Amino acid sequence: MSNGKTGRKALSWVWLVLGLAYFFIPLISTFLFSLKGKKGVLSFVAYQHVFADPNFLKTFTFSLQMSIYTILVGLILIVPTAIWINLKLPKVKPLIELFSLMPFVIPPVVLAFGLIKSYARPPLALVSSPALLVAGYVVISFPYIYRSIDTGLTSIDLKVLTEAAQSLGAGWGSILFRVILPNLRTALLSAIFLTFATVIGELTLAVLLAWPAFGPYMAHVGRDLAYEPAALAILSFMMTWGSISIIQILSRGIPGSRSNVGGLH
Amino acid sequence: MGFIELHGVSKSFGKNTVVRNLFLSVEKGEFVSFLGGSGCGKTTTLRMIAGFEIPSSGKILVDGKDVSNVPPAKRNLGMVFQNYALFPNMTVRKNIGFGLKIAGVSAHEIEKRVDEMLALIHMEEFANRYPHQLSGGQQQRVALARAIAVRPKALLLDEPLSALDAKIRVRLRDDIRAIQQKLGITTIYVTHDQEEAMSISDRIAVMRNGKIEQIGTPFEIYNRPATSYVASFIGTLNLLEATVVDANNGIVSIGSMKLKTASSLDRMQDKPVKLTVRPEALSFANPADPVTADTNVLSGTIETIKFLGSTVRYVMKFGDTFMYMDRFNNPQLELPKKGDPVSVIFSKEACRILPADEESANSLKGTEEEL
Ligand SMILES: Nc1ncnc2c1ncn2[C@@H]1O[C@H](COP(=O)(O)OP(=O)(O)OP(=O)(O)O)[C@@H](O)[C@H]1O
Ligand SMILES: [Mg+2]
Repeated sequence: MSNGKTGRKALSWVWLVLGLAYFFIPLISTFLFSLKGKKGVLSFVAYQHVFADPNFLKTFTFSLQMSIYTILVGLILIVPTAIWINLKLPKVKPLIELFSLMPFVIPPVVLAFGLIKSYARPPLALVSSPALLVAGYVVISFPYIYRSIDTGLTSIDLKVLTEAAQSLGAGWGSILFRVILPNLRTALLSAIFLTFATVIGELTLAVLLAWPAFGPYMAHVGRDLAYEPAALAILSFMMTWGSISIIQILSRGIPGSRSNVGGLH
Repeated sequence: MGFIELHGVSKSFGKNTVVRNLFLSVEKGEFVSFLGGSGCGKTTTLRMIAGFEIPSSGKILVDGKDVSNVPPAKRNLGMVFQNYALFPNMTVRKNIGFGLKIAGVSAHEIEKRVDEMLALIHMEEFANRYPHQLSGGQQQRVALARAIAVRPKALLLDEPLSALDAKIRVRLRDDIRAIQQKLGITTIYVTHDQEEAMSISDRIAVMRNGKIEQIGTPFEIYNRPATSYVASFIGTLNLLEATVVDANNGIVSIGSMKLKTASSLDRMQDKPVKLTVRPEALSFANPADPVTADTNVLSGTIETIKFLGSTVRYVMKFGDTFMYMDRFNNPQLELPKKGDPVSVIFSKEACRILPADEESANSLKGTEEEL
């Protein structure tokens, strides 16, 4: 009997090692490859090249800016909507959930052409404005924002908390800022980082609307160079994990909150 | 005029009417319970008073003012929920002080009032804990303190104890009553637990199908139930199908047995009725006792005996009819066995006659009052 037990234990170790290998081998080989920029020795020269290229910083800053606008617009639009739907219109929830899948079903190319067609001529000649890009990004990140917030809202007893606050005299402002949002901290953080990751890497919209964004830059580098793309891949991987660690750290010690990271997958 | 008044209040959800033309008047400082089975409209009625539901028709008055169109945040009524509803992001102190902060009370004053509340619920040492670090009973105490910290006009509680285990439930209900008496706060309390309602309330409103079937003190409700629903909802009861055989002398028959009652049964000759008698009204007949015109004596056999602790419940069979009798326990008691013959006695005043069907409830009411 004890033999069977150790056997099963060994088997789970084997699976764990296989899983980790599946995950880490490509990562490690990419990393090693990124260090081979100089013949014969391992060096960070590819990383130096990445940081030395003025376009790296320029496109990254641009995309960072766009992601901040997208996050602001997205949260301002979607958070009150999600709260209202959960409180007052739970019947339309399935419909909104269906809507939130649209960006996955409709390719970004279609979205981009739609935007160009609709906003190319007066009175709505917005094609040259970054507002149109942000609008497109909001559409693309809608599923991530909505689902993070919705997960957060269902993990607290929204209706009863709202009623408790109302019975204590609170208006909508106090309810939102003192009761609901503080309890959504984790959900908000995960919405923010998912949107950030989406916008930073986005390619199609940026190319078709002709903006010097980080996505097109990465694609360009990947096409023309060998070691630098590997370095970029490692950098963006570190950024993603950095973001997730920040969510974990910031949400630690929030009473009653569970981390919502990964709630989407 | 009552402090809280409901005038012909109804509520429908779509086609489903859940509260029907309800009238109620609660005095200032009074503790009234809504008692009734699941789905009878207790919560809906309470939520209309709190302002979370809008009545389909009728008026609600609090302190003489029509509040029907006042939003809940402006009604100044404290509310305690079944699942505590504490704010998870705030400590006990912040939770209790929340309403005061909203009201713009100074930080110093809030501190003072929260300390008073913590003392009232005996939880001074928990001030800086978060809700998830408290037991259910402690959380509900904090919720109670939070609701009364703003000195609301009235306190509304919706089954506040039903998520707690039995021991805590009894202790906390006594605490709620004590605090209510100390502050003299008008209170409406929803429960489906009859024992809880009886032990805590000044008056009980027994609800059924969106209506108040009877309202009265626990003593009245228990001893003078107006309908067989109320009678059977509260306590244990012998509820027997009977037929009026002699309306003038208040005599009914159950099978081959004839029983005397103190009810006047005008215009009920030969009609079916229900006879009710509480198990504690029965006792063993002593052969030496003279049978008077005012007592009923029945002979039958023991069916089973249930030992309930402080009392012993005898289940007996008289012809085709089963009846309960409750007697106090005592260690010298010799319990009879199944099949043993018994003879029980009860007064005719202990028998209440109730209408056989609910429609006739009103026609009999007049005669009930004369008793
Ligand atoms: N928002 C609503 N929409 C539709 N129907 C509702 C709504 N709220 C309550 N009801 C219905 O109204 C009826 C009364 O509900 P209510 O919650 O008042 O009952 P209750 O007496 O509190 O019961 P319980 O003891 O189970 O809490 C139920 O049949 C319920 O299904
Ligand atoms: Mg209820």
